Amino acid sequence: MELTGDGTGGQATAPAGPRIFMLSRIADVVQEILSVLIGVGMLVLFGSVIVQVGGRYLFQYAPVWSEVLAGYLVVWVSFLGTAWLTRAGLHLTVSLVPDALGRRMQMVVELVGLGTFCAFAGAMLVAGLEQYELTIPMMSFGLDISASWLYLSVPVSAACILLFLLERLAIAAMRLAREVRR
Amino acid sequence: MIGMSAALLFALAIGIPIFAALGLAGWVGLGGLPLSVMAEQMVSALDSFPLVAVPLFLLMGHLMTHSGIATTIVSLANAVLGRFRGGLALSNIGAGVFFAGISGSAVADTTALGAILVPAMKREGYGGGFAGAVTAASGALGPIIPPSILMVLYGVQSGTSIEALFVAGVTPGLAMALALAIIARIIAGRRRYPVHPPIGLQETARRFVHALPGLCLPLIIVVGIVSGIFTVTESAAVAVLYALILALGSRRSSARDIWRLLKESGTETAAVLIVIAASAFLAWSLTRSQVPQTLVAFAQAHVSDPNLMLLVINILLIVVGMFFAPAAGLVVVTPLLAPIGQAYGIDPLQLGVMIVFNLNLGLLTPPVGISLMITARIAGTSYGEQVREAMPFFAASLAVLAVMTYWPGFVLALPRALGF
Repeated sequence: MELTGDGTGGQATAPAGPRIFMLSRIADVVQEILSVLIGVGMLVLFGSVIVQVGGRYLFQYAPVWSEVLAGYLVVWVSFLGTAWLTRAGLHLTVSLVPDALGRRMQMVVELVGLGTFCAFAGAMLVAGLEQYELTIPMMSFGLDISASWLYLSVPVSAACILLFLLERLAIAAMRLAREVRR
Repeated sequence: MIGMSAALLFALAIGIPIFAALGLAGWVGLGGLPLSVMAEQMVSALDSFPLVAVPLFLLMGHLMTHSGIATTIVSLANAVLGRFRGGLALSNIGAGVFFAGISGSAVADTTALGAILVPAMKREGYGGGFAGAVTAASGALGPIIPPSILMVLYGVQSGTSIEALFVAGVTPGLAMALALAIIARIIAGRRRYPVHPPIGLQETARRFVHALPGLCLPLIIVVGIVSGIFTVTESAAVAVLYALILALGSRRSSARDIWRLLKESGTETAAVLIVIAASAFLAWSLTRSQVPQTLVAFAQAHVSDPNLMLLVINILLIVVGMFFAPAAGLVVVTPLLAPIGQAYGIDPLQLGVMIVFNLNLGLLTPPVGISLMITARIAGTSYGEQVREAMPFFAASLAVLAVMTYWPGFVLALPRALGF
């Protein structure tokens, strides 16, 4: 997979100021929790497909839940991973234009980019919450749980993305302010 | 449509993640409809059992690389091909063919092969630029020879059989390997690169036995799928189980390593699948605005000859591949090209292999050329030198692309013979 830096900082660490320091510490903890959830999700996903194959060939019975669970986990791993990648600055991007700019212009474009990304993450949050509420009464076939569990991954991911972007916006703004003062 | 295009271009130009750029464009196309459509479309695109194969194939590639299987495969390839002039370059391509059957990702293959072969080739007197270029080219075989993550993505997006796509990739992949080997042999002959003394049958057999566990993996996948024992996703899970046993058996991997690889595979999965999710949302907005239908009508009004349309599609894909990573490019173009292909009577299997093959060539072309960036770093050469040295391999791959474009039987004969 081609993972490239997304040109908006990435793995931001707090340069100065107690408020950003606090924000960065919270972001560190959230990123670590995401990392663990992604690992567990992958493990259970693998296990559920193996149960499917093993069940069919060893016991002539393929449980329906295993296929549905694997599908749910792909969705959760993808959305949680998206938030993790935002903090790590490892999303797929096309960074030709920012790369061609001067240092100060790059900083301005970074701020605009982060702001635009925030707007999209905000839309994702609202969209996810709306869809979550709409699907609460629907039951998922095979798992006997509400289908809203599937859609909950969207607002959870969006909220984490917004937290990470907030930290990066603050750091980018401080960097730009320092550059302007210089 | 203009609003969506403008939003997409603006977002891409300022360097925000591709998934967010696609999502923004889709959002613009949503008009007055509720935002929940965005979440519904993004999640529906991912909630599919065939897509479960993507994280599993990624995990399998990581486990196999970590278990040291690459070294045994390179060693076997050297024993068989090292006796010819430019033998290490030929070994590189030979190992690339087998590695393609293990990981399905060009960048993973290039990194794994490059780390072993580029320093060895430089020590033997090969130019760093050539060593890097041949590694990048052989790494590009990864997504063409099954298993292929790109083909899983195309299959899910277009509704084409992934099993048939896997089989359809075999002939073009082997033809590309042959074309690369011919170019490598010609260049090695001109530059008088070294010849190694032949390795005896006993030593070759010993290396074969060492490499055998790794060589069995592609067989498990392909035979399992073709014979109908497993679906693509199930074959991926069985392959992971096999790779896990090899990795733990090799004593190179601890439980901690496996845990790290699980997390890495998960985040790499997200990097690809979130682009699929966002592109599905954009595709929904485009379809609602009747953009694919408009494009088909426009194409049919201006290009009546299917052969000319194939040429136009190829040129478009080469340009897209120059700027987008293959997975991202694929999910953007497939919803637009699939209806065009249908309108011109192009077989979806042929179109799929063509799209994967073509976008993959973007790994060898500037300005992005990710594989060349990787090999430039490993070989310690400039990116410009890598680009120059890669051009003959790129040209050879274009020749194979031309054959598969204008001779559908080249791609379709094997899947048809196997009943797909």
